[in-house]
Order: sequence, then C-alpha cells, then structure tokens
Amino acid sequence: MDLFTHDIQSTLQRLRTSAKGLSSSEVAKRTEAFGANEIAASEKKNYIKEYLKQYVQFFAILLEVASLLSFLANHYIPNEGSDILGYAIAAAVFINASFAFWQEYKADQAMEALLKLMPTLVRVRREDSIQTIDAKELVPGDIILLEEGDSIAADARLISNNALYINTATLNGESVPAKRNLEDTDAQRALDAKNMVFAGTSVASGSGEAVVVATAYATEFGKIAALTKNVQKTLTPMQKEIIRITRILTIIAVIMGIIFFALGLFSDRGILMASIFALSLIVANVPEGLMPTITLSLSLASQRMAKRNALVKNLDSVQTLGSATVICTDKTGTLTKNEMTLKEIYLSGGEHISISGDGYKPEGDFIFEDETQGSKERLHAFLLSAALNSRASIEGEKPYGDPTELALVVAAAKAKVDSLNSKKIEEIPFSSDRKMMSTYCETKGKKVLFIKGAPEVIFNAASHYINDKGERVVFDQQSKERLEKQAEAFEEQAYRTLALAQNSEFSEEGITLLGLTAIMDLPRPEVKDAIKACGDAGIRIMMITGDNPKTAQAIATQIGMPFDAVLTGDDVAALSEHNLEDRLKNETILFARMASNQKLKIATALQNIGEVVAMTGDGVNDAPALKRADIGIAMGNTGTDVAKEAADMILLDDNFQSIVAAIEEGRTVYFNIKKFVTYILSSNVPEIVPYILQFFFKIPLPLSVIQILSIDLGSDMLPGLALGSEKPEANIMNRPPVGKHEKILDWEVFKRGYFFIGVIEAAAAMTAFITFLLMHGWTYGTVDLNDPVLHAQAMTMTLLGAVSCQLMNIWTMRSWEFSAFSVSWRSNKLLLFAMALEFLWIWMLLGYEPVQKIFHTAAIPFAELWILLPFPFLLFISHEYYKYFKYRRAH
Amino acid sequence: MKVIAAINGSLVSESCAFLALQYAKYQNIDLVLLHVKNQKDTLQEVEKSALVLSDAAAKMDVNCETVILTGYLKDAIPAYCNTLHIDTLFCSTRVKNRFITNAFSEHILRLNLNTNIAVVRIVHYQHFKKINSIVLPIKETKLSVYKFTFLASLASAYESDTHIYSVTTQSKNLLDTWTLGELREKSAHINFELRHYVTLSRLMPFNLNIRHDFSTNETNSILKYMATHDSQLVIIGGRRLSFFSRFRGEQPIEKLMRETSSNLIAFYPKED
Repeated sequence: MDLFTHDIQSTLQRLRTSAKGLSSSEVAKRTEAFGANEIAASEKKNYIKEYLKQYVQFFAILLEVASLLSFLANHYIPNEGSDILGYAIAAAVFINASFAFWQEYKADQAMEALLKLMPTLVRVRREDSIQTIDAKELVPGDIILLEEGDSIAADARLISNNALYINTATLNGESVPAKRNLEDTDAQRALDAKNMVFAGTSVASGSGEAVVVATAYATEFGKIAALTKNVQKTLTPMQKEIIRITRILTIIAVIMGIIFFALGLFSDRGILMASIFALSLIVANVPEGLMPTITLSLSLASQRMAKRNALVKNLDSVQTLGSATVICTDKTGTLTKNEMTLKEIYLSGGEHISISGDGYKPEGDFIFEDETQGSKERLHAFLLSAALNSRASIEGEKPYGDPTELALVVAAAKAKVDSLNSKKIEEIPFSSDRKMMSTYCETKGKKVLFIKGAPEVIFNAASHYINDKGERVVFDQQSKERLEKQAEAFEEQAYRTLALAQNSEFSEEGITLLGLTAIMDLPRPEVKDAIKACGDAGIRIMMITGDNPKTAQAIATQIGMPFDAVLTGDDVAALSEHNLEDRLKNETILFARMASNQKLKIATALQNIGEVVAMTGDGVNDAPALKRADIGIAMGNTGTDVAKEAADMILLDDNFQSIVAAIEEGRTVYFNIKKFVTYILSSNVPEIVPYILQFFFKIPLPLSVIQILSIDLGSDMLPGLALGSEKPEANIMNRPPVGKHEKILDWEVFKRGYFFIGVIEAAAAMTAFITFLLMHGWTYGTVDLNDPVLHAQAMTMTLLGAVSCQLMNIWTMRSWEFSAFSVSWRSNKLLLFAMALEFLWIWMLLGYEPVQKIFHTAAIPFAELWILLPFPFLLFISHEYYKYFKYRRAH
Repeated sequence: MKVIAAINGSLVSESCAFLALQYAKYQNIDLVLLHVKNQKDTLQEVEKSALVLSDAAAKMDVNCETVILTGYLKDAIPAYCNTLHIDTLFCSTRVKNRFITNAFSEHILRLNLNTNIAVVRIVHYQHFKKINSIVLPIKETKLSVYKFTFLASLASAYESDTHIYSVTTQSKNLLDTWTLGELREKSAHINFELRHYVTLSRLMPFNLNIRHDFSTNETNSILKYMATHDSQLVIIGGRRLSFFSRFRGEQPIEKLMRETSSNLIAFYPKED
C-alpha cells in the first residue's frame, strides 16, 4: 500500500520518523540502506577515443592503406610524385574523419539539463532542529521544509500545509500550479495524490513540511531521468544511407583494385607496379570528397531551416525530416495560438453577442444578435464585472496572468470598459472545490461582489438574473433551463464556458446571474494550409492533447485535420502494444486527455509499424518521447531546457507551419544529396577509364592520381555543395514521403552517374587526350613519350575533358526530374560562385606554375581547346532529353 | 520447511521481512526472523522490528519465531541453516558504491547455503500487504523452473498482474533492419517457447502475460520498463546478471540495484 494513502500519523509511523525528524545515526543507516539521493548523469563519451574511431572505419582504412602504399612506392621509385599522392590521400582521410567526428560531437545534454532542476541544498528538520543540507543527503523519513520558490529534492508526503501550490509542469506539463492538501487519498498513483510533493518540481506559493517517502531513481522524476538516459535512438535514415554508400563504393573500389592487381601480376609488370596500378584505381573509385560535401550540404540546409524558424540540432535529422510520415503534434501553442479569446457572450436576458478579433490585441467589434433597449449598457456592466474579477492584465503589449482571465480583460478593453475607477477590496481565490472565484469591489460608490465560475455552480448559487429589460428578476426553472441549454451549446462547440454573476452582499450565495462567456484558444490561421500541404505530401497528422475529446475534435475540424477515431489516455493505456500498432496502422487517430508519458508509447508503436515519426513536446516528461521519435521537436518559446536538449529540432516560433517548412527542406535535401552524389559519381568514370585503357592498350598514362584527387577533393567539391543548396523543386510537397526503402544511392543514381553521364565524360577525357597527342605527332604504340611537356599537356587535356563536362553536368543536374531551364540560373548564388572558381581553377591549371607543378599540368594553346567543346554540350542535351523522356513515360 | 527473513532493525530489512511473511503465508510454512548479533545493529531496534513483524504474522496466522545468533556470521548462519529445511532466505541489500560493500547479503551469497536466496532492494518502503503488479525480466526465453516457481508463489500470494518481460538483445544495426513482421515472428517464437509457463499460470490465482522488447542493452531495457510501468515488484535472476567480471566494469545487477525505481528482488535459486 503506498504511503500517500495513509494518514499523517500512520505515514510517519511506518517510516519510523516523527515531525521532529530523524536522528543523525538513523540518517547514516538509511543513507547506507537507500543510497544517496542522486541521479547519475549519462556516461560521458571519451572524445579522443571517438575521434580515433573515425580512423578505423572501413572507408578510412582503405585510404590509409592507399596512402601507405604511395609512400612505399615513393621509397622504391622516387621522384614520381607518389609522396605527394600519399600526403594527399592522408589529407583526405583527415578531412573525412574530422567531418564525421564533428557530426558525432554532440554530447547528450538532456540529462544535464534535467539535473539542473534538482536543488543542491535543502532545508530539513533533523533531531528537532532546522538544518540546511546537501540534497544528496536526503533519506526516506527526512522532514523537508518547503517555502515559496524552493525546488523540491525528493518525493514527499505533506505533514503540514499553508496554502501550498506546486509547479508540476516538469512532471505532467500542467502550466497551472497545483494546490496541495493534507488529506489521505484513494489515488492510484503518487502523481495523482494531492498530499504529495515531487522531486524536480518547485513551490509556486505557500509553505509546508513533508516527510520524504522516495529518493533518487524511486521518485517520479527519477523515472523520467531513467527514461531519458535509457531510451535509445534508432539510426537515422541518413546515417544508414552513409554507411550503405561508403560500403558499396568501397567494395567496388576494392574489387576493381584486386582485379587489376591480379591482371598486373599476370602481365609481368611486377608486384610494385601492379600495386601502384591497383592503388590508382582504388583512389579513382573512391569519391574522397563525398562525405565532407554531404556534411556541408546538411549544414547549409540547417541554416536555411533556421531562417524558417526550425533550428536543427542534429544534422542527420535534416534528411530524416524528408522521410517523416507521421507528425504527432501538441495542440496548444502549436496548432492554436495559445491565446484565449472571448468570442461570444450570452447575456442572461437572452441577448447573443459575437466578438471579432483574436488573441490579446484589444481590437474588435461587438455584434448583437437580439439587441434590446439597454443591451449595450448591460454588456458594459458584464464586461466590467469580468475585468474587475480577474487578476490578469496587459501592460504595453505583454500579457500577464491566466489565459482565460486575459480573454476577459481583453474583451473589456475592446469595449473600452474603464475599470480604473473601481477599487478591489477583497478576493476569494479560485478553488477546485468551489469552482469559482470572487472579487469584492467598490465601484461607482457601491460595494459589489463579482463572481465567475463553472456554469453549473453559478446557476446553483444564483437566485436572480438580469432580464432583457435590465431588471433583476427571480432565476426560475425556465430561465435556468434556457441558460443551461446555452452553456451546453457553447461547450458542444468546444468553448470554455464561464458564468458571471454579482451580489450586492459579500456572499457567494443568492447571487444575480449576468450571463455566459464562450472562450476559445483559436487555431493559428496559417495552420489550415499547412495541414493541407501535409495531406498532399502524404503525411499523417495526429494531435496529442491533454484537452478533452470535444475540444480536440472541434479544433481538428476547424483546421481541416482529418481523423478516423478519437482515443483518450485511458483508451491508450488499456490497449496492448500490438492492438495500438494495429489501430495506428489503419487509422489516423486524435489523442485526447493524454498524459505526456503516453507519448513514448505512441512514438514506439508508430515506429514499430514502420512510420518515421516527428513528435512535438515541451515538458520535461516529453523528453523520452522526443528522444525516441525519429525527429523530436521541442518548442522554442514554451519548451523546457530538458525538452530542447532531448529534441533534434527546436521550433523557434512554436508554430506547426514551421514543421511543414522544415519537412519541405528535408525532402529538398534528400533530392539535392541524390543530385550531387550522381554528380560526384559521374566524374569517377573519367578517372577510372584512362587507367583501364592504359592497361589494355599501348598508350601513355592519360591521368595521374594527383589529378584524380584534384577533381575529387578540388573541382567537384564546391559545385557539389552548390547542388546541395538548390531550392525545392516544384513537386517536392506533392509526392509521398521518402520511403524507408528509397535509397540515395539507388540504381537510377548509378545508371545516370556511372553508365550515362560518366561514360560521356570518359569519352570526352579520352578523346581530348588521344586527339591532342595525335595532333602532336604521336603514333599508337608509343607508351613512353620523350617530351614530358607534351605528356603533361595531354594529361591536362584529359583532366579538362572531365572538368569541362562536369561544368555542364552541374547545370543539367540542378533538377532531377524537370528541365534545367525550369530553374532560374540566378537562383543559386553558391553555384555561380562555384562556376567562377572553376574557371579560375582551369586558368591556374593552364597557366599558374606552382599549380602546374603539383598537378602535372601544362599550358595548352587556346586554339587547341576546341577539342573539349562538343562533349559538354552533348552531355547537357542528352541528359535533358533523358529527363524529358523519363518524365513523359512516368506521366 | 521454513522461510527465513534476515533482519537488522532497519526500515529496509523490515520491509523485506514483510515480503517474506506474505511468501510464508502463501506457502503455509513458518517464518523465522533471523538476526546475527553484531556491533553495528542495536538489539533494541532489532527486537522492536521483530515485534512489529511478529504481530503482523500473528494476524496472518503464520507461525513466527525470532532467532538471534551470536558469533561470526560465516559460521553462525551455516550452522543454524544446516539444522533446518529452508525454502527461501530473504535478506535486504543496499546500493553498492564501493569495491567491497561488505553487505550482509554479499556474505550470505558467498556461504553457498543449500537454499534459495532472495536479495531484496527496497526503494519504496512498504508493508507488502498488496502488490498489484510483478515483473520478471528474462533474456529471450531463459527462464528456469526455480525462478518461475518463486515468481508464481509471490504472484499467487498477491494475486497480482504478472508479466514476464522478455528482452532480446542485438546490435543497433541489426535491430534497425528488423521489420515489424520479423519482430512479431520473434515474439511469437518466444511466446511459444514459454507457453507451458502461461498454461501453468492458468491453474494458479494470477494473470500471466508475456511482454517483449528488442534492444541493444538488457539492463537499460529493464530500467526503461520499470520507469514506464508502475510495477511494484521486479524479480531478476541474480546469478546471470552478476556473471560479468567486475574488472570489465559495472555488473548489470549493480546498475539495476542502483537505478531501480521499483522494489527489486535478485533471486538466486538453490544450486543442485
């Protein structure tokens, strides 16, 4: 039996303590038995170890071996430039490892943020004296002293109470302070027991004393900490894809290397030459610049998303957003404005008034439906009562106070009601037992008690009402039924309904009813379009709210959010995991009256049925679900630090539309990565083919390894990055989410990159090489050229053949499906900058000596560059035709 | 046949003894409250605790006697236990935060007594009059008859909702490749392997369900389960979870004992 079900004496007895507190010897024993009241932070990563791990990845080891072989080659055959190659490959390994590590260097700060909620010092009564001790030293049976502003360090049962209210938002997301009492309870869970206070929460007002019943991980807060620590994140689609891409490309590179090493041996070229040849092929096959380009591209996308109010913490999440199939969203503040607005008033005489305007702006009109003589005066008196009987206020443009009261104050301001001439004398605060609050005021020389509360309570307390002539008449059964019907009608429309009354005496009985208010947290106007966009994009939206089903349904209907069923928190608790999965598979569900900790169950169930889940949250207790979801989204304005740390993305404006914008960016990134992977793979073919041809035919070496690296780590990188920052394509939000089985490196990418564009580029490179040599008197069969300048010039032509094709490839690759001309040539500034640098690079290869020396290039007479011209245009036109042909076949 | 509850006058040992009392009541056997005199515990507190427990036992019609032994623990306990036919010995434990804790429970485990041993970690003090939910985490289908018998006895004593929580551990990469269909297939296989326990439970006064988890870390999975389900008692296999060498880092059982959010029993069945 839990201790909160017992009375104070019994609880103290069971815990073998008293209101005077424990003795020091008993504290020592209990510390030994129960352990310290502390929650351990997540184990810290050893970053040196993590960094070094990057150097023992499959891809990295391959390049390291290649680098080592280059240095070995340089040792046996010096002055061939193998040492430069060795250094260049080592640099590529370093760049790749550093980028990969940078991505992983995101320490999990969620636990640290969580632990900040725990106080370091607490006041306790021990041996009948008050002591300030370290919170870690608390043990069950300790008596803790609570005062306004104190953070609570353990779960405890109250033994004395002086109007104590605690902020439980960290545990259950409740924004309103919860009143505590001393009575024993029949609550089933500690969290529902009003005589309990909890670790991680704080005292909002009042004071009290409590006996500690649970410490450390046994507290409700400890459970959240355990979840935050132990819930594991699955690999993001991007992480999986990167692993897959590197694996495929490395396998291709190694297989080709082995084949040509064997061929080299059988053709009597010697082990060393065969090794160098195999190594060259491996280097040519491995796209060394791919990983840094992906990372930079994701980083640029995250910057664009930040401009659209979505701050991405984890770069991989950018692409995951593109795969999101379900968005589980909160209602308040995300779909709605979190600004309560008084929309309708029903005066007790029967006049119906609609109010325009929304939020906390004091602008709006009052539209009467059944106006009678004096209606406006009665409305004025009604709003004066509302304004005077509220604690909320708006100073400047900043609202202060309870949102419902703010709605009343704003409505009074809209009607220009002047409450400043009235004076508040006394206030009877709201209590959940009375379900009403009252303020005793002096207004126009008279003392009046203004009352507001739940309609059923006010109706029962009312003896009179103001009729449509402004007279105070008896509140008879007929009038009561009329007003009850109206209150029900408001509630049907998901309005929060309050009844207002007044009394000339200081009593909450025998009061005079003034009318009803209908208040609502209105949906954000932009949400409707965003919901539609999600529908078009094949994304299901599920609202998870603590509100009642009626309100949730009304809001969903207003914003056009489709749903098949409504499940409450109790329904979800009753469903087994399998049953929940089955329902989620077939239905779009609206979750109402949900406890935040049930979000984890929903996220897990959705993931189990293969959905990619984006989940919003703001409370501490949302942290496990945010961590579990594929994309955890925390609210920037209302979110706690713990939620922000656990999330992958933070919404700076708490707006649902920003999630949709982020998804659009995520999808764009996916296709942009696809484009530049194709672009980068294309240049692999003109790097590989020259080596293969040189192996089988009697021709000089067409391309050096250092020239290959100049493409992979030089001329391809910035244009690739520019492709990564292309704007969304026209149909990006009209296609289904990127499926789990859709891969970046799919057959289409291979086909376009290797077997189509790559082949044209290889033809360009080899045609330029051979034609140039033939024009300068070379005859087939001469492998070693006597003129090193001619050889350097010919190799430069090969290099330029590939680079010039890549210059055109970048333009046609800007759209994966549509014509290159459908994209404005000025829309990608980075691309224009990259082009300018490309031309500068070509100029340097042709005319700048230090560069020529490193990259084995030489100047080419301008008149002979015509050889390069046909292929880039051929590439552009053929790829454009390919896209057109493919599009026509698909549609 | 007797059930022994080791007491030292502390709150946790008393709570543990209440659990032993319920077990004895269900098994219809006598309860012995055992204490070995030492310099640390005051006899007065031990007697006070024994009195509370004896009163409770009397109300439940369980024969209860208090035995206070003297001498070295390693000699006194085997000498006493060898004279009896013991079903299970219950003793409470504390958090291990030093290399050698020198806890009573550790000594007991080293004595190789011919009995089942239940080492109880109390984080919520209670009299164990009612337990609504008991969980037995196991690795895949690894459930011994002894462990199930112990679970069944406690579950029957409390007529509680009981779950076998089967955890399948795998590498993160492999887990990511498993489809829902494969997960369900694996769950069905585990259910099939454990079906006889479910069948047996139908003859007893408690509900038994099997729940599944597929994760990279069994300990984290158990802790996560405890935090999300309001289980009042968790029973783990003490021997298996203590298997890993201390020199390779923290043993799973140590982490579980330290971070548990529910009262927990590490069960060490009698070795044949």
